[in-house]
Amino acid sequence: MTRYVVKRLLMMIPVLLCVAIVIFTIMYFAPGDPVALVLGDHYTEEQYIQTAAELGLDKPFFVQLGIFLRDTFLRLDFGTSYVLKTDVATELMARLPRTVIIATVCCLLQIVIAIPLGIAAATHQNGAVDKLCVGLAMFGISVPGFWIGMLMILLFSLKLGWLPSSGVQHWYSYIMPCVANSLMGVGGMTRMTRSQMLEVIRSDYVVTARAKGVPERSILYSHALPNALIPIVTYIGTHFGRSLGGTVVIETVFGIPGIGYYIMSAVNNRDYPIVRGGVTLLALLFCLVVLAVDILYAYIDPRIKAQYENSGRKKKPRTPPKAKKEAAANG
Amino acid sequence: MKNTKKLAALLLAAVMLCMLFTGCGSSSTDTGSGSDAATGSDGTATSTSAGGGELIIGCSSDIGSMYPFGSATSGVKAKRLFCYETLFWMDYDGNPQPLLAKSYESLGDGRYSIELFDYIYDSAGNHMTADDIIFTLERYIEDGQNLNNYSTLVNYEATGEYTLELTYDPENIGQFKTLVTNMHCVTEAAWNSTDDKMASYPIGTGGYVLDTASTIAGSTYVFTRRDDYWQTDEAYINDRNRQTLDKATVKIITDTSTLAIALQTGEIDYTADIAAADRGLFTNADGTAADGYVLINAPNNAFCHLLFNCGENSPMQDINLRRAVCYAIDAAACNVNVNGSFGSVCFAATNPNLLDADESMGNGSYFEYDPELAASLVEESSYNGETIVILVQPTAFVKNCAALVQQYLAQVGITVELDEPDMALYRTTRKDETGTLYDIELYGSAGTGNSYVYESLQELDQESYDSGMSQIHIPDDELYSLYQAASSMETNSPETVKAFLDYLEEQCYVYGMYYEPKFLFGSDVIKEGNAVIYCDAVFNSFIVER
Repeated sequence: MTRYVVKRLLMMIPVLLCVAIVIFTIMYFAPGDPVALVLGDHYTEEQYIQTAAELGLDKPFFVQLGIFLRDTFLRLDFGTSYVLKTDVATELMARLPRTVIIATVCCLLQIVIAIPLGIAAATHQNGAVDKLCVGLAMFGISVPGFWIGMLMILLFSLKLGWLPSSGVQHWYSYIMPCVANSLMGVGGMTRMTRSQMLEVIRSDYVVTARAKGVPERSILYSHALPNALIPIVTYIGTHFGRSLGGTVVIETVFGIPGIGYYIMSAVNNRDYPIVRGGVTLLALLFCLVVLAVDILYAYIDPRIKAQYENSGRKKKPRTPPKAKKEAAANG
Repeated sequence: MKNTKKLAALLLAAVMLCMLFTGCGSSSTDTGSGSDAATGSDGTATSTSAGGGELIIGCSSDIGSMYPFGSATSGVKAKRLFCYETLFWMDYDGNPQPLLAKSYESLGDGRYSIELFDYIYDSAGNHMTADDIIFTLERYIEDGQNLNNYSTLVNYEATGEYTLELTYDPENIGQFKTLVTNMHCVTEAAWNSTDDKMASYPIGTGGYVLDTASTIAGSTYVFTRRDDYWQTDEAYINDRNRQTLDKATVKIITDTSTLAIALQTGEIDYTADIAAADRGLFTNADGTAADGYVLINAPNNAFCHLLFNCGENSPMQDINLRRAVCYAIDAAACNVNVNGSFGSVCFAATNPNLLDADESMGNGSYFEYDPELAASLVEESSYNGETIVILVQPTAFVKNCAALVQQYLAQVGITVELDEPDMALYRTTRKDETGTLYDIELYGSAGTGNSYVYESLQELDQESYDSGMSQIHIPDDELYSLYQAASSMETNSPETVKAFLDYLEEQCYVYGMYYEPKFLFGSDVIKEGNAVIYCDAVFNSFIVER
């Protein structure tokens, strides 16, 4: 297992390198001049040349790329923001926890709400409960999070005055953003859990368990659910990874200084160091989440664990039984 | 089946109730006693008591960093007001008043002598001298922002420990005033003591310091009063350095709708960033502040206008087509759609709030809406149906009317494509000197440095373009001489400004559409507060009482 994890960690290096090169290239060729943005509307030619040199933008593409890769991967230095003059790594680390909190709480909400809903829908297939659960899931998928967010602000902040409309000063500041952001995931996961459970509860071993008189609760939670969990865990992992960089709208509506909004503003300002650093960090986090999901598979399904454990071992040449007997006879 | 229907009906009813609850009812909330702390005739909130306390300011743009220079968004302005100081501050009539400098004297021929106070200390205890002002000036020039303020500054030197001299050649009107009221000064010692240009912690001479323990980067910035503020002479205490607040909190709320709600719920006390669509929540029909709120007025210098690309690569080189565009747009309707009842239609290619402009400079009828005339001018022109590209400045003030302009032009047979890039791409596109990327620019010039007519139309200064052509993409010596006459300290007068505006109208290079007042809203906990012209509120003048 350890060997597998190490192997996967090593495999992340080329992935991250590729991401870094791609984002660097995209930003390099993206229209819009960061030097002009730094200097404002009025500047001289000398001023332009001097600022471009200061920002390191006067060098050829491959030299800039080399410097970026060296600084990022060998020195863990994402550079300094062109516009804000702040250290990008420090700013990213300050904002990361807020985004991680939202993504984590969203995942937990999905697990807590969507899995029971999906199970209930599957076990009451075509019944009222099923229709209610599927309806709720469709609602979650169809309604944009930012719109629900605005409605929640109107209700809970403006009308009732229970929750702050924006900011991150208190733990309860996160309630509305997390709920608004998790709706779509809850809807998707409910449907996913329902379909997986439906598939599993029709399988032969579940029928056999029922025939043997195993209690229904035990059948559901000990036999059916573990077998339905693999795609669900995959969904949670992917959604968590996506949430890390994709909560820009929610962060904007609720005034949360997270990574998504930080990177988005930097894209508009062509603040290359922030965009490159932010995307590389998100790629790293995404890789780690995917790795965690893969490890989780092993604990859910022993067959996968066995595969992981065997994948690293060198295969010994098999000795035919006949040769074995001959060897034993020869002493 | 029956159960399902019941459940569905219940669910639907619950959703509808929820929507009803959130969407209906009065738009204003009970944020206070509904006091009449509305603005006075001079546009300031009326005073009822002496204050102190905490002010919570809402900003739609992040402060980002504590770097003292760079472009000024609402968040950056707040930071500067609390932590940094300029040589002079511009009072409510637009005149420089002492701040770091005690006085200035015009020596003639564009020369100015400035005398500093000799007891200035920043928050780290560094003593500020004339050398520090020169050091700051050099950093500003290095930084490149607002370079037009320094473009004709040919000499600057410290003439003593607390005196310095600036020389302009030639001198344009307003340049000196803009420089001394916008350059936020730091000491060389403080600057050199940080390795990030003060990006993480400000060391200024202002009356407040950043409380790093309470600050959450990107969300909440807290400034607390300095007990060791250097200016103690009552004769020089003014609205800019009064230290009326104990604490000021700047909350960053990037979504303007949420910002409006935050003002309604009392989470913030003041904001300058209420969107046009939300202004009705805080104002009465006559434009005065609604109960529970104060409206702090400041003259605004922005005006929405069209700048034509008259170069040989654009169909807009035809004056008939340019005139057709001007007559085809109903500026009054655009103004109502964008600003409600608050804005006004331009009488010329300018804003009457600028220091050297007034409505008498108009000629009575300025491109009054006439679609029939516009259609006939289109027919007279060489326009053959090609698509006209309008480059739209990415600000709400301008963007909101772009679609209307497109519709008006379509009515007279002009096909328009809107180019609405982000700020970086916009700046690159408008800097293009080939004149092939767009035909018209929809623009709303603004900024603290635009006090005079020529400053708000710097795009017409062909000297500042390498190609020798200005933003209209043709060289026009007569236009340039009129521009120079309106900008020069010696020749600026109502006559030269009017001649410049008349020529713009005659040649139809620029079409002024509308302008609007500046809306700075606060809740009625603000008992007193003023705002500088063209700029934001002077928070140091605020008296807050909860």
